[in-house]
Amino acid sequence: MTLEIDWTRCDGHGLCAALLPDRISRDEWGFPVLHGTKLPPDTAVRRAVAACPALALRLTRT
Amino acid sequence: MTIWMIARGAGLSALILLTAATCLGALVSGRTATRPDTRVLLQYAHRVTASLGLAVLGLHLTMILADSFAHVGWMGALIPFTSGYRGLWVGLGSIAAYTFLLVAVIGFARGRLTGSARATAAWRAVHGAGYGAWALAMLHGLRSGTDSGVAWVRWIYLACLVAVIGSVAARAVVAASPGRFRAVDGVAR
Repeated sequence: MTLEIDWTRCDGHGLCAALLPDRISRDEWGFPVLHGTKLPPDTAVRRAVAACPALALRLTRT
Repeated sequence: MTIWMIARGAGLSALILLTAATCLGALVSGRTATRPDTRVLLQYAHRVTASLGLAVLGLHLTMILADSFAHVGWMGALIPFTSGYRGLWVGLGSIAAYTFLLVAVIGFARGRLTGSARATAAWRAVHGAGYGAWALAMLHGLRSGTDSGVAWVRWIYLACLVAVIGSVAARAVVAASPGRFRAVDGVAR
């Protein structure tokens, strides 16, 4: 699975980084920085996608 | 008589839980809480109160149908405005229940829906129908509820109204305030 950020929607709320601290950190403006986009489709990743207040995260099959 | 009392109690309990869910929904959607961890917790509280509220709403419906004296019946409950007992106000309750169900289903499917750009664009508007459902549920309870004349029940309705108006106002104030990116001050540099 590939994790993608829709930058037109992302507002740097930071919930994804709070839920996936090992995979996502935040830049100085609070926007997410992904540590690699290829992810296992595990529960934690799905949880972060569902938690995004701006609906800016999506998982795609690749 | 017991069935009828459970029906009334479940209706009021469902209203309280779904009011809590509506307030938490308004609070999590904006930056009313700034810490991401707090917002994750608020979001989970929103889901828990909404799920519990729908479960208790199911109990309310079941007990109304089980009570032979209520004169609502399957048709009266499922098809709005056909109830023999207070048709208009029971009908508003049915519409509120359908809307809450739709809002809950798309809330549950939230993560999967982000795969589609169109679904993502429409999501907020559709989920926002929950506010309308809450208002209909309030009217339904006030006008068809047997206990709406009881003083402490009226205080509960007033508290529900104040809670939702307060939460929506808090959301609006935060959304309108400038410099929202100051909200990320807690990030380690």
